[in-house]
Amino acid sequence: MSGKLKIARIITQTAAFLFIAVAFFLLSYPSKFVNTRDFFLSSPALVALAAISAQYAIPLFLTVLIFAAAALLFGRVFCGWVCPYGAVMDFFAFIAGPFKKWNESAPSKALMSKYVLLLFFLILAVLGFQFVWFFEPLTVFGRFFNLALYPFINLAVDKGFQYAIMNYGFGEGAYYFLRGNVFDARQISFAYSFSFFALFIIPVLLVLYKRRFWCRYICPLGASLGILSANPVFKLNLPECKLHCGKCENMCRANAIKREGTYIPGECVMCMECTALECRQPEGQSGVRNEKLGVNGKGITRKQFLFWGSGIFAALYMAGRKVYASGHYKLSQVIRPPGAIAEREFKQACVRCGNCMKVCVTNGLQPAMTESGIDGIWTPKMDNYIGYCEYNCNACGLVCPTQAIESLSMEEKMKRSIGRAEIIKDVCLPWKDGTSCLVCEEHCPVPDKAIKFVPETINGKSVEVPVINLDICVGCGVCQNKCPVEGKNRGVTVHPL
Amino acid sequence: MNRPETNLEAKVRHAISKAKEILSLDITRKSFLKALAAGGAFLAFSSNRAKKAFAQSTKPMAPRVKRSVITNCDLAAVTGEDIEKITRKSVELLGGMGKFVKSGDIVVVKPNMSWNRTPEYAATVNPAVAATVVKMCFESGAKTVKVFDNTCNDKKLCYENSGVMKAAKGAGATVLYMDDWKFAPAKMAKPGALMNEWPVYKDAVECDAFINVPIAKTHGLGTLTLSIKNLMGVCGGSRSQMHWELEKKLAEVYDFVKPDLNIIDAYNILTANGPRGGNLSDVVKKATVIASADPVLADCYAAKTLFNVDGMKIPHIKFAAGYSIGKGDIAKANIKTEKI
Repeated sequence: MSGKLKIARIITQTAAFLFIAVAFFLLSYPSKFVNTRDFFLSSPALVALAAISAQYAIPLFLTVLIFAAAALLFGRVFCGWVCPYGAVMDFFAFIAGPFKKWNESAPSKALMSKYVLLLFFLILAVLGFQFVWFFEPLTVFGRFFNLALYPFINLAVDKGFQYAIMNYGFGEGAYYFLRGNVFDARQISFAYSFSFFALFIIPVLLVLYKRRFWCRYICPLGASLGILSANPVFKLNLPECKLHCGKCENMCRANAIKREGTYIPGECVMCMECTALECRQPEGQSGVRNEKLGVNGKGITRKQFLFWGSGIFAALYMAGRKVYASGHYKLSQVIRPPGAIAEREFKQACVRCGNCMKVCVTNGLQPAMTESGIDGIWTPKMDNYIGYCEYNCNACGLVCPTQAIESLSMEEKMKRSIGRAEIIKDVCLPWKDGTSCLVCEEHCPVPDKAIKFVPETINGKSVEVPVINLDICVGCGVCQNKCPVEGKNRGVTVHPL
Repeated sequence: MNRPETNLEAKVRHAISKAKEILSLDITRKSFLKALAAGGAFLAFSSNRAKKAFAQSTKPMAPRVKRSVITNCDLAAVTGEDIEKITRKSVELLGGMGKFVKSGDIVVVKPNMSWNRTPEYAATVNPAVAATVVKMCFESGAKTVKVFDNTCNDKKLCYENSGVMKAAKGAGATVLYMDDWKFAPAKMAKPGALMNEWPVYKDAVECDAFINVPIAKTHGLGTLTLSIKNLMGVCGGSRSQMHWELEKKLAEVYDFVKPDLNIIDAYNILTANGPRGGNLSDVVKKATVIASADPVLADCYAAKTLFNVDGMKIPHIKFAAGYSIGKGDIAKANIKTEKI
């Protein structure tokens, strides 16, 4: 076979990458292009583990079925042809190609590490702790793109044009066109951006060791697809090898081809590079020979994996139920986006893709650290010092892949309360000094005003002071955000529910 | 002892010798000091350059110079069902848009679109009024008409949901999002001003004509948002901080920007829960447009006729009258009213 399939793969991979990048780039509210939440739902590992740990039915999306079916039929085509993270790695390898020669052969046993890791995540998930987001490539990519790369590009474009306009007086037309049609009108920034960048770039740098190091040894998504494609319907047709020169083994980026002329379907990322390889041996009989991935010669079949996996799962599931029945989980310590499901489930169903934070129109949704517990790291929280929850907006629910933030209609969203506002009478200007101030009432978005002014005598002065009607307060936090008392202590503070 | 060198060791040794070769400069005290001076100069120069390039303009702006215009009457108020007709008629009664906008002008139309509300809630200017004003400017020969507002909620949502962006763009205006770096400190005209300097949007000052298009609505308790208050939308800085002694600051900013014409949209007015609104029951249809070059008169007239409030009892209007921005005496003014 010539290299036609390889070329087809490169074209498809590039097109898929560009499509996904554009979709991520344009993700905003109101929506301009496709919704990237469906993209995250194409990962079986992510969907399954989030659903198990949150004990929450995640709406299945067509993409996961398509790629799972593709894995059953052809193997890990997703990894080689679609995955944007894999595309970045392949592209980096292409750039580094002239300076570096890879020897891809490595012991087969090491390939088990990603399955062990996935099993570890499965056990954690059954215990009610979803941690697969840390390594799941689509979320690593999404977090990096949404929370680090996009704000950086946005800022760089802004500053670049600012420089050109202020110093040379050109580019104004292009600038306003881009601001109005391509970029967000506002600048956004996020806490921990550098961590997202670092976690993204380390696996890319590992390319210098083995081109698909991440995909071979770590990737939970690759492992889940590897299980599905342990014995696909259509396999590669390798010629029977008599020479055992090792050329194909050294070249295979997934370490799927063995010197004896066999290959492991569950490892092959279908990059099709071997089809373009000039095999040294004269053309012999063609035949298909599979090698099952195994330890000590004993292979693990899909059947066995499912049998043992479901057994372990069932046992741990029962154990896990007991843990939660005692219910010693605290309520939320941070303000969650509107439509967020119950706190314990929320932390497990959230895959930390960063979609909600990117679309938040006020930039108020920020990644949390450990304010809501160690299992709440990088979940979205509302930071009222930075932004607030816009009343006329239901963007975060619309883009949440696992529906940890429910997709609410605008009417439902306007009724949904996310916190409770409280006037801090030691700080609030009218309450403390009798200075007249109306900012919180002015901004209160609730039609009948959750903040009202009542006459009061403060320090001998007659002044209108704000009071809060908690029955209609939605906890949006605009009052805290806009309070003229600047600094950490504001005249009004919103507490989590 | 002498074991053969491994491949890796050889590579490392090679790399070290290469690095030594590259770094083997003949460093003397003189060359070291020279390099230090050159490096320091480079750093100083580049940081200065960067500061210059990206710093907000700190050069204070002078107040805008307004053309002196004598209108046919002091104030025109037109009532009727057709929004475009009443807007046009009100300006015609003053003497036409040609008095304010000349051929080749760069015009700023500043509507109130500060809130993320749809037009029917009357928290933002009626899109038809804004579009008509833009059209009239072009008919008088304006080169460009810029439309912008410093919004309270997210810029994009405010511009889009208020409907003003679409309507103004349809009329040919350039609708711009305001940028932080385009604010420059405004050096207030009169000595002894409360705010010595306050960031004001450059485009609002560097224009040939400025047309102020507010909507009539309540603001908090017993206060109204009218033409003087609408100038909040060209101010930068901390909006919350500005609310301290707001009335004085508003007058100063108005005096700095000096709008040529105020067109108050009172087609639908918001009578309670302003300035943000949200209840359709608070919206009252008055089907009126009020135009005047005198903001104090316009505000007093609107307060009296629309809300039945004495304008001189509203702090910022009273202060503006004392600041000699305009005269608030409705009885003495030449007012033309018309019904279509």
